[in-house]
Amino acid sequence: MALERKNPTITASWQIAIAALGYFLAHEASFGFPDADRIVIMLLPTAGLGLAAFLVVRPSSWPILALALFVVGALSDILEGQAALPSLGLIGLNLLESWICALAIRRSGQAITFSRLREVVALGLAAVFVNGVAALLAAALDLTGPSLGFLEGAFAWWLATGFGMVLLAPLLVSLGTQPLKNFWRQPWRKALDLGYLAIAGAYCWFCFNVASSASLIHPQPYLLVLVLLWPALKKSSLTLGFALVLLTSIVATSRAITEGPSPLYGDDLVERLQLALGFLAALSFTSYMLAASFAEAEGERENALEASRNIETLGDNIPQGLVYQLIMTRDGKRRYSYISRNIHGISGIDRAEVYADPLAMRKRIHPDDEHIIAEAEGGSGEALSPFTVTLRFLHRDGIYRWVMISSSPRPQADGSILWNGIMVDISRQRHIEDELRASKEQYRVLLERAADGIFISGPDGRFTEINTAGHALIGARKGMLTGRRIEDLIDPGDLAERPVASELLQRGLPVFAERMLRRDDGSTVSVEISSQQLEDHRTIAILRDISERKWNERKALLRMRLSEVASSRGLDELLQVILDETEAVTASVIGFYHFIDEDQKSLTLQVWSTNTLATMCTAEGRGSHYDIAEAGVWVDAVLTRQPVIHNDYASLSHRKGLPPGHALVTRELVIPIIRNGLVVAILGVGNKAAPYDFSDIEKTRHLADLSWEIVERKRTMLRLKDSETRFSQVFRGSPLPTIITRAESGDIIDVNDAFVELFQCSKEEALGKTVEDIGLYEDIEQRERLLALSQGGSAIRDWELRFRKKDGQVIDTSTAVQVIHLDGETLLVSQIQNLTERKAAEDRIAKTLAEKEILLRELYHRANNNMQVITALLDFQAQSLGDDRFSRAIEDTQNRIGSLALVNRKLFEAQDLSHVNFREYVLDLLGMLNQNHARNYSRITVSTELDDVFILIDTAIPCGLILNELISNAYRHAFPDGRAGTLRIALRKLETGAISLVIEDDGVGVPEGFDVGRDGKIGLQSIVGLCASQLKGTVSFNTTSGFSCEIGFTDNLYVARV
Amino acid sequence: MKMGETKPKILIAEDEFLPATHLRIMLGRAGHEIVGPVSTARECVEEARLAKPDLILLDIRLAGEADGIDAAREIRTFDSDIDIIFMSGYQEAALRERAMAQKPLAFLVKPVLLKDIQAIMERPR
Repeated sequence: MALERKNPTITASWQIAIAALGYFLAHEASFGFPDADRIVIMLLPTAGLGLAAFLVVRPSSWPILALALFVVGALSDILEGQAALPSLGLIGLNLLESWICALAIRRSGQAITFSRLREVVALGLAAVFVNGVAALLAAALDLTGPSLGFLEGAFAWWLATGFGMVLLAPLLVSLGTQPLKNFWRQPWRKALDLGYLAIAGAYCWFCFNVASSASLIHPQPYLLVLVLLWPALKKSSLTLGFALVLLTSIVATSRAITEGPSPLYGDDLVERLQLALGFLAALSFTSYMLAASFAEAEGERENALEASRNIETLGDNIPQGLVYQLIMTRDGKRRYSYISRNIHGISGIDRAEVYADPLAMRKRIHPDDEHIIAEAEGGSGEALSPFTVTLRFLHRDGIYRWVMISSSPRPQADGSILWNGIMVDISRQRHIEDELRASKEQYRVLLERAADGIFISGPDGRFTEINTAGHALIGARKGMLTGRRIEDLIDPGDLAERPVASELLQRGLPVFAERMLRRDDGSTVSVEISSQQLEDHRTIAILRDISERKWNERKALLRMRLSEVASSRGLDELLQVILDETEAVTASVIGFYHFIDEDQKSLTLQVWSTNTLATMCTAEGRGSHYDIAEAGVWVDAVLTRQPVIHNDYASLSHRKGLPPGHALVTRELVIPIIRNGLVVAILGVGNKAAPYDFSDIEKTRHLADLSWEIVERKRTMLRLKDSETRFSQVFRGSPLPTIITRAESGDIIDVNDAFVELFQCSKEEALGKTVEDIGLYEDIEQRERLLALSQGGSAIRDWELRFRKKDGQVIDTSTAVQVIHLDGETLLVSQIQNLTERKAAEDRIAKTLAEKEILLRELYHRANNNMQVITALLDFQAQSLGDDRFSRAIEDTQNRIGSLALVNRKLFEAQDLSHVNFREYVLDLLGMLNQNHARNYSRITVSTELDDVFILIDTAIPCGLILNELISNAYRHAFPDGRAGTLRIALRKLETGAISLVIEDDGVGVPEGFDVGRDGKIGLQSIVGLCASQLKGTVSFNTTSGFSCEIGFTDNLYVARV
Repeated sequence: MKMGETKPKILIAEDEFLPATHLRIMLGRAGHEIVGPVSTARECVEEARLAKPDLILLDIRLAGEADGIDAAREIRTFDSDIDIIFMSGYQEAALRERAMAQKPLAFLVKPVLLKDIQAIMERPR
């Protein structure tokens, strides 16, 4: 893990220069010593310094460093007066030795670079002293000297320094870089370490006890390196290191002291001590510096590890993403030094795989996107600049998802490049972006394809975006409207009248308005504007062309106005209204209307527009006939049967002069009105400021059609007026409310007075409108049904309809509808019978009847009372006379009165006060008479055979009298002297409807030769008279056995009076 | 009322003069003691209370607001034994029904004959 170092790094060339200087100084270090002659000669280019120099510079610089050192070392050696050849050999060997040693260290020591100044200085000092000591030892042992040849020198140093260095240093450093805790955990490392210590110990022993006196071996420098570095690298403690250094130093110094005088230490004890202490101080300082340096490096390593662990933790927890560290070496090899654990979660591959095969990541990138990352990394590596790319990465679920890779490169000391990178899944974001893009696209299409003009303006009110329809609405080319404001589009007149409601818009309220726009060609167009400010303070305004609607409204309005006045105005007035309207909608100032004769040869000026008459034309020509052949170009429309526009009237070759006083014509538009293949009229307008165009034709044509509709309607009305006389007798005078309507449209043609009276709707209110307009039908669908029924042409009778009066009251009617055809039109004549009134009449009648009944009953009652009075009077009379016969007569009369009163009574009991149940009457009468005669005639048996017969009062009264006479007679005369017998009464209703009444007895009968007409008393005679004259019936007597009288009559002589 | 010994005392309630007089004379002549005639319901009730007649000939329609049936109802409150014969020119079922509720001796429809009354009085009960 490469990490930033706080200390400044030294560039390669400076490193080489410093190393060379150090080398030189090391060589010249002997100048600092008193016994220069001896020592300087013996000074050798230091292998330790060379090693340090090699370790601080990049391997790539080693050859040139070696050359520099060789030149410097050899020069200084020769300058000292050494023989050239041994010097070159010695220096060469030393360099070779340093080179090999540095190579070994670098190979095994991996990250140890010795790049810090402190380390360099320490190593340099160490080298100086080590070599100084070595030189002194060599001098002391008397190993050096001029006698020494090249090979001898080289061999001596090879043996002395090379062995220890080459063999021990790598091992030393290798061990030093391993963490101590790992060391103890690994038995084989432990064994190795112990072995190493043993070798070191043995070596020391050998140096001090064997080699010092006998061999050429110079073990000291390596021993020092060993004892210094080992504890420091082991990071055990500085104290231990010092202790070891001290121990070794004491051993060495004490030996130097105790050994006695020698060429190396000198003869003088003080001199020897001085030397030893200087040696010791230098040694301590050096070792301290190195140890501190390594300890610091170790601490940094720890920090770096901690930091990297933290980063790893962070990296592993990036949601939907990962971090990585990718190293690309100078030769282009790639290696992941780190990748977050969640590479597994994302791609399904383990990071071990990625570490093993750096291309594992590459393989998962979408083939189409591979070039993206390759190019990005390439460019980034070259320019050393960060890059960010988005590409599709195969996820563990087998789907390519969009990821973003962002990475920044950092050059490494060894020339490789390290990328710290991050990869984040942005598929979701990407999806949103895609959707956003799609929605923007939709919005764009919607905007462009919209039929309405859409204007979007920025906060300053100026348009930023206008769709095609918007441009078309204004008649502007694409892009011409940008920067304009809505105020610029509105017709100045309209704008002056009503300013734009910008205040409402700013408050975020939607604003709807109908405005007049001025198009770029100067024409105007009605639009409906619906605008609203958006949240970002832009304003969207939707403009809909409503000129069509306006035009339709205007047409409807005109039609309504016309139908309102149609009945009260003359045809010319109506046509003038249309002409004025045509003028207005086409912005013309002349308008004229001609009828064309049926032969298509001549035409009649019917009417000028109001404006033409007022300002343009003084030539009176109404009613004038023109020959078409001789008329001006304005009759072209008649000839071509097409709408004609003359926008440049003056240039027309076939124009003819205008009559004096005639309006000056500059442009004109003439529309022929064609019906049934014939041109029936022309409608023309003229002198529009701008040329007439297609829309003018359309409008004019429509109004021309309307005009003819009016003409026809007016004519129909006129014709109807004529035929009205035929109707008047039946229609006007009819007591039934009657209405005449057009079958299809429901237009009301006429109503009669009864209708006006019933519906309280005046003629003016009804005529010219439809039945729907005045709301005549309670349910208008009834009319549809009526129409359907009347299609056959047959009249409809007693159709029950509910109509609504003007005041809203609904009335029940029985309506008769007749279809009539008049002047080619189908009309419905509806005669309405108001059932509501008839019902009221029925109620009145019922009430009257009830009253009559009460009256009748009262009358009958009065009659009975009167009879009571008569009876009383008769009684008084009889009493006053005191004559028995008279009393009998009175009694008879009273019986007769009783029989009459009985009729009244029976009538009273009857339901209808007209008919009497004659059977009951007979029974009651018998009861009454029997009561009168009972005391005298109890031996007389009465038998009855009576049918249920109802007869009118007019018949009942004479019948009652007859019965009374016959029964009284029978009681009085048939059974004299206590004679028993039977009185039989039979009442029959014969099949012929006649009624037969028989009264007979088996009494004594009448004397021989008795004739009723002649011999009968007043009683019998009155029977005959009553029957013959009043009943118009027959009476027959049978006197062969007893007495029998049969009366035959019919009850149809009278009719019921109540 | 004991038949054959003393003729019953009759109260006549009839608002019309002739029929009332007729009844008074004829019945008086037949030996009855006659009270009245009275012409209103109130008089009728009063006389019935004071004179205690054996029989009342009661015309239903009387002068005044109350009719004969009202009078009968009133009389029944203090004398339930008194005989009543209703007389009426009307004979509607409703009227008859109302009258019969007073348990009269008879309901006679006018014109009423003297012998009808006598027959009813002599009718064994």
